[in-house]
Amino acid sequence: MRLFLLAGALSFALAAGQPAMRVAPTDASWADAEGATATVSARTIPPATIASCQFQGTSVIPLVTTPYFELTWTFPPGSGYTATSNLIVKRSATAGLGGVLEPITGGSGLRTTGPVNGVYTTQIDAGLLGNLLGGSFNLAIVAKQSFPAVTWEAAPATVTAQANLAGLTGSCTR
Amino acid sequence: MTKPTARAAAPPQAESGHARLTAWASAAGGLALGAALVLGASAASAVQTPDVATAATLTQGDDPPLLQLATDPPGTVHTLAPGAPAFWRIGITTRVERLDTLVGYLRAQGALASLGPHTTVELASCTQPWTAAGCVAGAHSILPATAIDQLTQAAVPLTDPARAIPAHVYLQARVALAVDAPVTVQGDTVTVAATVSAAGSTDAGLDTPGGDGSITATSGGIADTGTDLLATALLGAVAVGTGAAIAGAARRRKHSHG
Repeated sequence: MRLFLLAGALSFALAAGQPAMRVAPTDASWADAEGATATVSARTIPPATIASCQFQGTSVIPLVTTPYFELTWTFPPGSGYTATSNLIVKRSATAGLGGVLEPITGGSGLRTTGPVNGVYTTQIDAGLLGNLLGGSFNLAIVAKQSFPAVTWEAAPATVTAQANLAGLTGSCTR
Repeated sequence: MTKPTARAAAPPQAESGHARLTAWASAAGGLALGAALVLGASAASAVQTPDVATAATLTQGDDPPLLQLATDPPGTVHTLAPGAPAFWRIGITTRVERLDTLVGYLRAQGALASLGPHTTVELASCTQPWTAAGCVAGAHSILPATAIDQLTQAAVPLTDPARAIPAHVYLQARVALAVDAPVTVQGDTVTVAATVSAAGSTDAGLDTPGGDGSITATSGGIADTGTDLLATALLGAVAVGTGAAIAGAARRRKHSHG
């Protein structure tokens, strides 16, 4: 009986210690899927902001003064925009509010100076608005940015203006 | 429980040859019993090991996931403009011994995705992090510039198939607007989604993966886990056979004496 137990214990010990009893390496296949998302947005050209608008009418004496509208405005802080590269001044194509805006081209009749503390001043001679005088219309400061093959414009900053045909009286409101 | 009965049947004749043979038979029986015990323990171990692997799959630990994507912080918005593309970068990290496949695809949804050829996406990978100069190690093109509304969900390899898949792969999606894209797309957005799938082999007994990865059996069967039973079974068979032979010899000797 003792020999029986001894042999059993011995065989157990031998079997437990044999190399074949070591834990075999685990080799499990593995698969996983993960996702990520990104939001991409087309740039929005930031609009200019008009600070003030006024009408400078013709003086009867002397008559040499040319009537004009004067707007003060700013580009968005940090935009890096300048009036020489990023500005379009527009007006309504026809008298009355809500008309389509078209660029004003007028040489010396359209003047922009500044910036002074970030503020630009734009003067628009009434003579450039001949067909609009006698009614109300829109003037607009529009920021723009040119890309290699296209120019994008910001939403216009507009004012409502009016002047009589003689340019003696007028008004401009934001 | 038949062995104690067999032991009790052996007569106490320690000094005789018959008694010696009986003792050897008992020893052989003991060997067989021991082997059977070990065999049983091994079998139990083999049965339990897959359960451990299963637990590793179901109970996600604190270790990093075996597949991990790193990208922009939440809320990041990439901007693009005509001629000024947006670059979205994704870092892929895998922690497996053998990575067999690493594939993925892109999807896009949003107003910009409906512009057809006006918006394109291009995907490339690099074995090093992308820099402002691009991929210093040399970019691998995954997807050429493709209209973003033409993306398919067909997974494609994310690395050069001719080379081993590295543990770290860096993707770059280049989203671009056509140079003459109309001003009306200002502010339009698109959400680009990348899905990355990886498969390989890992030591499931050592790592408890985080994330939602799954460990599955190799070749469609149970994973090769637990102990090797072949040697144990052989040992048991030899012990049983030896015991039976000695016991038979003892019986023959007893009969011959009788």
